[in-house]
Amino acid sequence: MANTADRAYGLTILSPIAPGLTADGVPHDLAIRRELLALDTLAESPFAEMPTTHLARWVVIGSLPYEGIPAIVDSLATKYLLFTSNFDGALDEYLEMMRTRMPDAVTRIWSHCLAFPGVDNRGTFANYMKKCQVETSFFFGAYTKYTLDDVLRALDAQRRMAAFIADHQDRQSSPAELQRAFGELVSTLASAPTPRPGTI
Amino acid sequence: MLSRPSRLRELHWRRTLGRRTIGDVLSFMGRALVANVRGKAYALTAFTRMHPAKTYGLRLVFFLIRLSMLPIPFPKWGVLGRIKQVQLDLTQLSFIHFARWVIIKRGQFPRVDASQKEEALNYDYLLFESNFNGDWEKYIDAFSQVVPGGMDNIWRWSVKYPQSRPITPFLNYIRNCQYDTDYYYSAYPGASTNDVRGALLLGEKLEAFVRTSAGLTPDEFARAYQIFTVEIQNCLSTTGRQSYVASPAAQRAVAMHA
Amino acid sequence: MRTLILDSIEELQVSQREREITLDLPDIQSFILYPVGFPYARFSFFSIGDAARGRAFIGAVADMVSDATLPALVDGKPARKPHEVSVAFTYGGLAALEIPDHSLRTFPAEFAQGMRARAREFLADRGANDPAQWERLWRSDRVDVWVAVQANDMDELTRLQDRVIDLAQSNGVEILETQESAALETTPGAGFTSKEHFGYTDGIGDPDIAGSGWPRIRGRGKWDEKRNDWVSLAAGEFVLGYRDEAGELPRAPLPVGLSRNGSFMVYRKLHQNVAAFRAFIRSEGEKFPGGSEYLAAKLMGRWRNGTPLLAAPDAPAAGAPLPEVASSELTNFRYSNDPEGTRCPMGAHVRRANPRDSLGFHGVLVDQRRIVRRGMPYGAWIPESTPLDEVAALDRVDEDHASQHGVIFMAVNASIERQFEFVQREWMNYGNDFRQGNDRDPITGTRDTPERMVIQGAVETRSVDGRVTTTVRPPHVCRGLEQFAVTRGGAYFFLPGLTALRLIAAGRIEPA
Repeated sequence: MANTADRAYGLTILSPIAPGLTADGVPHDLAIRRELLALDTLAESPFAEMPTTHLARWVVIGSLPYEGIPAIVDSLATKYLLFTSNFDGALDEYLEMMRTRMPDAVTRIWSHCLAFPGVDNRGTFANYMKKCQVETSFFFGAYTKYTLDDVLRALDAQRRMAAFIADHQDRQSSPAELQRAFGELVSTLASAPTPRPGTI
Repeated sequence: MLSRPSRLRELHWRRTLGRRTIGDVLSFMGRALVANVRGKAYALTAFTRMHPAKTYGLRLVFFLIRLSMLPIPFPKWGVLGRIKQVQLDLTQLSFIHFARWVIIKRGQFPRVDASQKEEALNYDYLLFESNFNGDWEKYIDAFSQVVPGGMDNIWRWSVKYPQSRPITPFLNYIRNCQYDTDYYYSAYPGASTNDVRGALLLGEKLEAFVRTSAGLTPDEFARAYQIFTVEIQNCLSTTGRQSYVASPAAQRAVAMHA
Repeated sequence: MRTLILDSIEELQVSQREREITLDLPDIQSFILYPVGFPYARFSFFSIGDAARGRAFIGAVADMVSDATLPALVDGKPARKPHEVSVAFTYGGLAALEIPDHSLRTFPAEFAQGMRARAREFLADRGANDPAQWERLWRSDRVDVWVAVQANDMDELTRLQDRVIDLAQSNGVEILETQESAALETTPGAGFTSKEHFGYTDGIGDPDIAGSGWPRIRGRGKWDEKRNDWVSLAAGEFVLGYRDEAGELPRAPLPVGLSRNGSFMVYRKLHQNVAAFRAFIRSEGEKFPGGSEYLAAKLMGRWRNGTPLLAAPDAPAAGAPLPEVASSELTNFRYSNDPEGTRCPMGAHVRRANPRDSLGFHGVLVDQRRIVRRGMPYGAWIPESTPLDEVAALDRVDEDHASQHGVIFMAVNASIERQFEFVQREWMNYGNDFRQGNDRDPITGTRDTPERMVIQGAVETRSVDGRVTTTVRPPHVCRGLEQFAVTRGGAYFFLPGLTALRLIAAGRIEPA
């Protein structure tokens, strides 16, 4: 499947944006942009609630590029909201997580899209998203054999290990002390919770 | 006399924004109206257009790329061998987290219900979405220097595509079809691809070391530990979004990688 | 097939470059290409008031400006030039001299904005380096013209400098400031050295520029795998109007007559915190296996006498002198046999400034990031025996205390943004390309709080008399690196060719 590479999935969604104006008299694409501006980022981002999203973005596509003659200008009949996500695992689980873990953000953004059925029903939501899905032709990742959990835990271990090496170097610990402390580090690493996405 | 140079400078600056999109400039100015940057990651979204017949050429290229990724030792001079080399180069360049190409044929723009007007487009579209580390220009520059053949094979099907070398027309081409990101999320904004790969490698080595060092005497352990630290010495990169103690003036500016 | 053809063309072009490129030496300022330093220098900064009188000043100074023609040979080698006079302009200076708008607009954006406007964002000049704290001269936008006078003896220097000042005064051009600079005499009476204030031998490694006429020295150009040897860099990286390493004519200001044979220069006054540096070397040196000199070598990538770590990677026995190599070997090394930084640390200063072949891909990621350096120290050498608190008092810098010592850093390149700014931001103040994360350069990195550097270690397996011994030198994490170099100011300048200089002086840049 061209959408996947090892454990990673490259989801590309192109949702038609509703024509006309919102109740506030603002075009829907502009309303989306404003919502996105107001959305929290980093560790407070709604995506941080999803333990499988590596990188994701929203881009409003209002018009198409034009390179100059002899090329012809193409005009879009509808504007589109591009959503791409790089996550672990299968699509169905991911869509369900979007629906249940970030329903507020999903609703606020996609409610401006044509025929969006809302997040109340698992089936209709998934069907809508799949209708808007475009198949990825080629997907590349630098570490697709690893999940987000693997990555975050590894980054955490990286920090702790670096600090451990520096501390024991300065302290000039005895071998016994070093061995004991190392054992402690290993159990800490094993039992420490995965850092929250967006914090590293 | 004093005002003249600064007015000119301003005009000049606006006119030659060239090197960066508005989005980058505004991101830098902290006004995040668009957000191409998130920590160490940069979001590039570009749509190029293709004559409908040429799309098949591109599909063939992707097919060959996928073939070349099979664990078969292709001869270096062959087509698949060359494609594999491009891939190896890309991986070694090591500043892409994830990237994708999506062909959207002109009739394939999603249609969700009958009320939606039908698109009447003349071209097929190629979406390129990439998450990479660092400067936009450095990225494109590196690509063009390192894998010009690879770039050319994918984009030669696109309308009015210049070659990837010399670099300036190519930069202009990409800039012209780039879209600014409205919202960008990274689960590890303070970690570059190198940081992540270093950390994952560290994890593997650590696991191995824990196994092999179990049951050693303290002295044996100390020595094994020393060897272990040499093995992982370049897997300890400092992560985190760069921040500086901000002077009042500096508070307005956004760090390059923040 | 296509690539094969392209490769063959490349091959032809490379050999062409080596044989045929001749630069227009009489039209290029000597400052760009003359690789030999002078012990005495004065850098004067002027503000142009009346444009016509300003042009008259420039016209008169133009008679003094040195070109890049090679000096006559003496004993088979080019003789030393007795002096060198150079002149350059800020964007404001060009405007003040009434270069037409349509021409000014073709100058690169970074040059037009100037260093001060870009320092925070593009040069990582934050905290103590913040432009808000720069010296008064550099906080203003008043610097229009830079005139450098360099000479081998003081009388010659004074004669020329006095003449420049006279010309300014008689043409009503305001003299803003003159920066004094001289090579350091570290042992009284022993003559000038090429040391800088931290005790390192500096000024090693000018890039080899194709067509400059100067003999190639191994290690100063770029490594060519096909020839298995070093070759010169394309002139277009340093002089406008010639082909650069990417195979393009670099974007140059218009009209062509104005930019041809010119270049861009970065001027930065860097104060050096000698006490902090010495304190760090001494205290960390006690913790570092191999001692202080070895530590100093690891931070720089060269021993303090200039010997590259790649050539002499091991700590000498206690009390033994620093390792030495022939001067022709000072730059002849590559990092391909040191991929993990066990000899020269990944984050060492010289490795960051010029990664050579360490970034792979036949060096293409490095070849367009080279700069010509023309730095000179200012201030008096402080003997190593001076108590640290006295040194610290001399280090004090603020609005009321001018910097007593440091280096005037000058870099010449065809593109300030692609070359100098990139190196300063991506390689000096960031470590990702070297797998060092956020770590900054130990010597010149900007930092508000003490930071770390990893000095890589090694595992060596040796077979002695049939017995295999493994020695381990573990990695050493230096913590407590302070900010040792502080930016006190600077600007971006345009260094015109000699014909262009005359054009500027004559006010003869044609309006469209």
